[in-house]
Amino acid sequence: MINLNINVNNKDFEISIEEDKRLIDLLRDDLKLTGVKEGCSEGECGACSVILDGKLVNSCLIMAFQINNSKILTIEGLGQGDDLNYIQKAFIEVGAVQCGYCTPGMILAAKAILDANQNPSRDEIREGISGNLCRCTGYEKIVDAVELAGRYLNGSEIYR
Amino acid sequence: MKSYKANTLLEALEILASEPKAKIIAGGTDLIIELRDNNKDIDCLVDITSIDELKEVRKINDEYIIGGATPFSDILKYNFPKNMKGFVNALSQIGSPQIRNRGTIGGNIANASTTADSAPVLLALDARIGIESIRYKKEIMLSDFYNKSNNDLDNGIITYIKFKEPNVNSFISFEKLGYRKSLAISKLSISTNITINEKFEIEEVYVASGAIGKYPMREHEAEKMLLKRFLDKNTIELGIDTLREVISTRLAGRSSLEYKLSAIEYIFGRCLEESISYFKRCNND
Repeated sequence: MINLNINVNNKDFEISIEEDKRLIDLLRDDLKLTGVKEGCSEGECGACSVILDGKLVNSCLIMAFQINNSKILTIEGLGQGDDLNYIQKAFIEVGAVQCGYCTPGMILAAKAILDANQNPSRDEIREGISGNLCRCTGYEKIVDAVELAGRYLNGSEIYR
Repeated sequence: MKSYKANTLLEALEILASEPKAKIIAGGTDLIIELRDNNKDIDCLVDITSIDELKEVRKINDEYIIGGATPFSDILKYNFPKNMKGFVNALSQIGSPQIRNRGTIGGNIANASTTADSAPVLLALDARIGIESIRYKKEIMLSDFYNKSNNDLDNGIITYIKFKEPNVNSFISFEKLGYRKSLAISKLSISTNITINEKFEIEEVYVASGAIGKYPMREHEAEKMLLKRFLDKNTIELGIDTLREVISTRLAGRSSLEYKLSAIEYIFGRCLEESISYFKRCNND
């Protein structure tokens, strides 16, 4: 067992973990952040995506012991209860959610895109979500949603 | 399982010396899958992602030096010159944004997969790698690292990858064939590094391939065929024919041979055509 000091969704945790635990297991099993989904377990589907120290990563491909003193953002850290984040609102507005399994990872990928560029082109959005698979939507609505979220963010469209 | 998180290179080397069975983990994008598949008898991991000295991209005089634990996305932030387009292309096609944010150039090499996406372009750049352990420190050609089939790092760490900046008359190209754009395991990849003289003759040439042999390798026969020739469509044909012959022998009996031969024609041709277009544009500027 080793002790980790981490900040998850703006809360500090000191937690004791098994050394063979992955980041996804720490988030889901220990911290009960089940918005982090396990799909393929090999970095292909992106359902387990989280933002680690500002970068989009697959939490299934990181050992928990590697992230001591790091800052992690999961889908649970985006909104505040019913007060949804602008990207979540855009996904709902456009209808970019079907079964919902890819959605947490997809929204965090969208955040990583928009953190770097408030006005991404559709190609840049497609590139930014290329590590996240969706088997329902055909991606068009998701790209629409990220574009809309960009407009919310840069103020060219106001959301309620 | 034991785990260590090293903060300095020396600390990592000392741990590796005291734990002979320890395995280095950086991005973990390949290793963690192997761990879960239980294919490897690993009981100790040494994390090197916090070692700043292994995560720098520097240019010293005419050489680029990239720390072994530098993630691909950090390398891509560096402003490489236009004639290194193939290097940037190769790195930006690796995996997905998530994989590029974690996967490191040293890990890609240490893993020694024939499909390693960064390998052909680094071979075409005639790259060298620095390897360091508590007992030794050495610099070897990347091609030698791959040629030795065991790729044994002997408790060492790939500390850097080094290559010369291509001169102004050179162009680096890279083409890869996969099932899809993102997250595609390379079915075949080729990188070329061509230098021409004022008569448009090929003064120096490197051709390297991935996934058409046991390991990524230089294609010396094709290089010999191209050298000193005028860079035009006929030379492209000659180069393609030579490489097809080499591969026909190397992969004889494989069911994938026919597919790979037509793929070679396409992607090797594209590398050479892209080089011609680049040099013509330079001439017009």
